[in-house]
Amino acid sequence: MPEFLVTLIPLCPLLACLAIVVLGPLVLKEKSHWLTVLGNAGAFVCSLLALLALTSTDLIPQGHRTFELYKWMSLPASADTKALDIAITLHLDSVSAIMLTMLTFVATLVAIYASSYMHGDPGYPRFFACVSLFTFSMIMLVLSGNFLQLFMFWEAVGLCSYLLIGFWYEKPSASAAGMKAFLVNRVGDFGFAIGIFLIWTTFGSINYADTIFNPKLLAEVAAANPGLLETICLCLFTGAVGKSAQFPLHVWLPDAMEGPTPVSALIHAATMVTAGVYMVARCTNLYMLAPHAQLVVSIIGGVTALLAALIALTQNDLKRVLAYSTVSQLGYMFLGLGTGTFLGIGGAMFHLVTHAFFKALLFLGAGSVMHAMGGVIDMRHFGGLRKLMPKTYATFLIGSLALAGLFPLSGFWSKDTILASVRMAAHPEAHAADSHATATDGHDAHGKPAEAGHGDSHAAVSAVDRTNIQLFGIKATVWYELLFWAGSFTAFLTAFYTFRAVFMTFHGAEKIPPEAGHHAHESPAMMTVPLMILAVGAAALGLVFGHVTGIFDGFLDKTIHGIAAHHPADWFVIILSTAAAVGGIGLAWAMYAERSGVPATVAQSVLPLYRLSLNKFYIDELYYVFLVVPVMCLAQFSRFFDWIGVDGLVGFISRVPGAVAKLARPIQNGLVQFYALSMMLATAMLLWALLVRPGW
Amino acid sequence: MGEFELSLSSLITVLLGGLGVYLLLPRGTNSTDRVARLVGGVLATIALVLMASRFGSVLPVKTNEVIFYVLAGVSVVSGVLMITSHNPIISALWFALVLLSNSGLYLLQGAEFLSAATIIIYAGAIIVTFLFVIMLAQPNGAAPYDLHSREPLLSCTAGVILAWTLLGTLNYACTYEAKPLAERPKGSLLVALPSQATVAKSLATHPESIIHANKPHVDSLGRTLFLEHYVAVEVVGMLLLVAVVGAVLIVNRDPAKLTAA
Amino acid sequence: MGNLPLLNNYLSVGAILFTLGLIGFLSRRNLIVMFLCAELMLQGVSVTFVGFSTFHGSWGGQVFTIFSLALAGAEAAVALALIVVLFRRNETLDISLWQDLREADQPPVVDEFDAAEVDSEPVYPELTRSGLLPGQGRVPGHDHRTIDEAIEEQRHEPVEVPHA
Repeated sequence: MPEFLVTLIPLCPLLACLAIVVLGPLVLKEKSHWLTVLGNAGAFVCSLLALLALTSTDLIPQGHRTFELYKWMSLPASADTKALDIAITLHLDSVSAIMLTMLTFVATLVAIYASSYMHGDPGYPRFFACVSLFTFSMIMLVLSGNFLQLFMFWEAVGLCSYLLIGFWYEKPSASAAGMKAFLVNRVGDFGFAIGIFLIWTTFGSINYADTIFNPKLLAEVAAANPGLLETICLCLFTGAVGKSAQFPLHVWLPDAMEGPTPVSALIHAATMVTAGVYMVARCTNLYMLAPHAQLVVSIIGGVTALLAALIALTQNDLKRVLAYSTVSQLGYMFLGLGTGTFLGIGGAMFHLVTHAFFKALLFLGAGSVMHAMGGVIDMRHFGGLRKLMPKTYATFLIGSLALAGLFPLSGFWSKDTILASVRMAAHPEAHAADSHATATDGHDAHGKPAEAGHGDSHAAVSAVDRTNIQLFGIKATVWYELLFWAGSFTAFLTAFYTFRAVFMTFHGAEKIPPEAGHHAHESPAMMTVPLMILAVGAAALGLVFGHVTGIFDGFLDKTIHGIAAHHPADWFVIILSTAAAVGGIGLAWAMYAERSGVPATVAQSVLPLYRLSLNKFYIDELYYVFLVVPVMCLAQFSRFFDWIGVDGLVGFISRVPGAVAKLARPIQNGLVQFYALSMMLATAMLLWALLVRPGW
Repeated sequence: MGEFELSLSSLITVLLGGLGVYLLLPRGTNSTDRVARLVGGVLATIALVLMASRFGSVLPVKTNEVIFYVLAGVSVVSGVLMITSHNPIISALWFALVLLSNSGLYLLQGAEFLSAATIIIYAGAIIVTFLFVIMLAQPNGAAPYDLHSREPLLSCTAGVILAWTLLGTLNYACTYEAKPLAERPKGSLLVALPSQATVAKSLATHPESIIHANKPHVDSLGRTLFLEHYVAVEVVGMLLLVAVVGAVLIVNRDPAKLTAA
Repeated sequence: MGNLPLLNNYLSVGAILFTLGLIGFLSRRNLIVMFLCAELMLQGVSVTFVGFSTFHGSWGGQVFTIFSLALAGAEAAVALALIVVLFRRNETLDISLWQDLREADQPPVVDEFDAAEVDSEPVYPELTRSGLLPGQGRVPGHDHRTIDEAIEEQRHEPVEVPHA
């Protein structure tokens, strides 16, 4: 039963995709979305059932299960290569089950939303075929049981992303954005592939079961060659940096907003970009043994979070603000993953889920606004829409509050956990006693009995001493301290720019751009109902599954042992982050609630900084100068070489027979007598050569 | 006779003949051309005499020798006049004379049937057809294209080269015809030319092909034709049929339609 | 078997006839004459064949000549038919008119005639008149003029065609 169920999860969207490809353009046409919705919903139901099956110890007692679908290749070991056994597998455990449920749920809602949003688009069936294909690829990515399959579907979601960003391919900017996403991701994928190669050479296998789920082997390798593990982790992280749009490869995500808004919601906020986070979380056992790599993960995450938040401050495009906010929040997740504490990992995973809800909600809300405004998304061109679009406003507000991290909405719980974990990493000595004490106590604050005697991985992780880790001559604790304050400041900025967008869009005097025309009204139910469902999720998720109940951590603990361990509430962080959120919202209210000259005055007073933020820290320009221009020069040189060198040579060779023929062509002058003369002379020459003067 | 001759004397003979023919070829109707034709005629005659002097006295019967010289002379002179005549009708008549003298040459070699056939078919049928066509398709008066030859110098040069080569080759072949293979010059294609012995051997397997002087001539030739070469006879018969049908079809087409197409 | 010098004589005659035919074929413009020249070449070959036939004492050469006769007949039939058709199209037998099958970018070979010479009427000798022009019959008894007077008068008068 579970095998069939798990197989059904990827099968539903795959069949939907194939059916739309075959039938869509001729038969289904404007009904194509039904297949996608049904496929995604089916996958969601199956995922939910699989999740529930995992919770019961009767069905899946060991907490994870791998189904082999098909043996892809099996190469025996030879003198200088190791054996390679690769199968297409479905690996179900709590991490993948959480990802699947979240992914299919959001995908179903987005598909419903898109059926209204994309109505009348000439590429309607193509859109839903791509969405189904994307869902399938993401499910297979999450369910993969080895690194090669992971990589394969890693690329497949990249492909879907490319197809959907460039969905309106007649628009030059859209196809350019698709290309940019693809190329930037290639940089990360290169490192990712090298990481996988290194795993194979190190462990002799690329199956999860033989590598990251084999703590004994991991410990051996860590003991023998810790630098190698660090390298592997950094290489894998390179892939995550590309896919999850972290600094310095974040440049593709804001441009990816060229795609239709449901795509932005589904791929570039909720699901695909979390693949990097998922992968790092999946490899927790590996990263736990590589403290330097973890520190790098945290630093990149923290820098990205702060940088993206700073950029988001000044963007005028609603979707662009949300895009930078996505980059920033993904940075948060990596910040948590890199702390090396189970609190951080659990927080990152939880933030992943809550973020998927509220960011999908925000994007779909932005799409609703865009739909009503006739495609205009520049916040300076509209305003005061709260009366015009009450449902959108209410749901958008809930999403914004969750993003800002206000109690008791979901964002508060997850973001707080991450910040607390960073602080814990910054002060390991203060918390060591705590956690040790709770472990021996045998229970946690929520009354849930702590599961004693977890796997060997726990012990292996504890073996790494983190106190003496240094990077660039600075101690890890100092780094984490810095990152904590950066994260807290980012929380403030997040609240500020989120509510700047809210106030600019929904508050103040009503202002509708001329492009809106008769569209300027609340969106239809097909669009608002998914918004409401997501709003409920964004509001309640943290309270229901978060630290108060401990359900999420407890479930995750089945795979990443140690997460459920009790951590006392860090009141300092709670107060600080709430203060930051409230402060940010208040500042935004003061500056943007009523349209005034205040923002302009502020911008004038710090003009260089304003310009820096508005121009996204000139990162695209730097890339242009230092990467694109040299490559263009090389390409120009190559072109000239091809043109003059290669083409010249080939052209010369091809012209030689032509030139010879030009000499011979007058022979063919159409005059019979001339032909007779040629024949006669040739005969005479033959006679001479053969008879008269043999040997000539 | 003897050594291979690609000699100067033969070259001079051939050159003289070529120059003569060049001067005889039509090049307009001016008086200078008449002089040129006269000079050309003289040169060609000299060449002819030189040529004849090279033949030597070889024939067993003097009468036959004289007859050969007369017939060969008439043939060659008629040929020259034929190709140099301004008027196609006159050309055709000269060609008839060439045919008559050639049939005499055939008769001289004992080819009675061929001699008769040449006169009957060629002179009697083909030339008459030619004359009909010339009269059908001849514009009034001398046509400009008959009065001017194309590249006479180049043509004559080519002719001289070919004639010199052919004559030299013939001499050479005759020299080594009788000799066994071992005595022939190395590297020449002549090594592979059939000697009289090989011809005799090949004739032995085709007894019908041998000419027996005492057998009835036409009877013997007919046997050869229809026993040894019956397939070829059939093929040639078919060819004639096809040619006749084709000629009828070609001429009967409407010229207006032809132009339109 | 055969007489070698005799063979040489016949072969020489054949070669000369062949060469003459070739020269004619190369230099003449008239289609019919060119065709006659081709026949002359054929005759040269025939002489050669018969010479060999006698020399070797074999019927082969003569048989070959018979075939070439038949071939000449077939050839003449088709070629003359073609000539008639071609003449009907262009009212000329000039071979230069049919050089269309040359390379596309090759200029056609243009013959340079002296146009005046070509177009001039043939000049006939002019004799003193021996009497009245035919068709202007007069009754002798009614004409009192001398012949010279009549001729002189006739020169200045337009020629009148008498009514029937």
